[in-house]
Amino acid sequence: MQVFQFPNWVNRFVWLLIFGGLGVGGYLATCLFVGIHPDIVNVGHQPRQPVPFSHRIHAGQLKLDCRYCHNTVEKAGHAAIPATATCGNCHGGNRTKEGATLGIVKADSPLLKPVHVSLETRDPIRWEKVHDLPDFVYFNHSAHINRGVSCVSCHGRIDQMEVVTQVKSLSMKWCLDCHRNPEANIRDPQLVTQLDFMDGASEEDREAYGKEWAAKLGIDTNINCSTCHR
Amino acid sequence: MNQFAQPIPKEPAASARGSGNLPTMNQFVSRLPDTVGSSDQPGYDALERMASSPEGQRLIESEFQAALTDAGDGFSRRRWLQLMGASLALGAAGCRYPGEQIAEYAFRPIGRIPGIPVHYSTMIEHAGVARPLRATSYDGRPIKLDGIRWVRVTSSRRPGFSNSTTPTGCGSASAAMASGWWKSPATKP
Repeated sequence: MQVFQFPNWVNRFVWLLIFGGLGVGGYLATCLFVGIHPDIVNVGHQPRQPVPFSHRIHAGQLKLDCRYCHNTVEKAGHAAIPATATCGNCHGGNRTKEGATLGIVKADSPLLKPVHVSLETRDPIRWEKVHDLPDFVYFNHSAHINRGVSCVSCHGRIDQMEVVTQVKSLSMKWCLDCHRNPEANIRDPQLVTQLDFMDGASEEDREAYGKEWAAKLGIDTNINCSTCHR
Repeated sequence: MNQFAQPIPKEPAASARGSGNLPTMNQFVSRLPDTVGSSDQPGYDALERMASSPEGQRLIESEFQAALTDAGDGFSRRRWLQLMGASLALGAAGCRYPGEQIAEYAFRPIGRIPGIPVHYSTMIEHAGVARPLRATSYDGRPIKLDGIRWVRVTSSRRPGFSNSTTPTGCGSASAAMASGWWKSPATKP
């Protein structure tokens, strides 16, 4: 009885199998790593909002202070999305609480329909969250704003954005980088909403200035796990 | 004559099924030997020929109503493809964790700061007596009830229940509350 033997040229498939398997595994692992990396998943996130609110017009062109709308940012962990009534101050027409005609700016614009509906029905507008930290992370806006960390450090030049886009990864490494060397992001707490502050300054100048204010404010950053994961 | 020529049990009358003068399925199938037996037609497609006859069509329609409407018009298949395509597109676009929505007040109550707990004085009725409570509310959700320590009828150890003085009626309860309300919250009884 003749025993079947694989011919010699089959041997090359063994190597193909080994290296091919490794290659496919590595490819899938790379896809997974890249696909969930915060720099790729988070940066550029730009959800569509129910109202096409333009920060470029309101904060950039009209120079509204951030805190006119996000008015709890100095007092609470949340930099709360403004109530619809805040929009209504300028855009509400006679839909405000007492029926007084306050805001006449584009009071009948179809793009502001959700605002008008919300003012009339008292139902909230459902804004899409752009900067969405995981639920296991604690972040307090007031703790940062009151210690001279500007909005621009995390949110970028919101005053130039037509649609708010996430520009920083908000990853844990990114948080820790600043918590280890906060000097470049510290400034006079009164100037936190001035987004173009020291824009053209060199890095050394900026850090020297930040160091000065960090000493003045007694900045002592914390990198304990329980600072954020509480 | 052939192997199909066997007696088939009769089903209830067709009129009982509310389908006019249609035969029952069993009656219909029992004619199969006759079809096979005719000399000019071969036997192998006898079932198909029976099924494609007008009577057979009506019988099948009445028998398999649901199956025909589902498979026949092609709409459900198109709908299925639509849904599959949509889910594929979602899968490709949804490489990010699901987003959250922020539903802010239309009119925020004066003094309300989202994320800061608010404390209210309230009461619960227990054994016919109003027991004072302090409710902690976080973003509109009550999360904790405390007995108010400096009011003598309650204890913070067992919220809502008295530990020392048990008033016997509304009069004494209000007297107890009235006697202690001005004390500082920090004062321990």
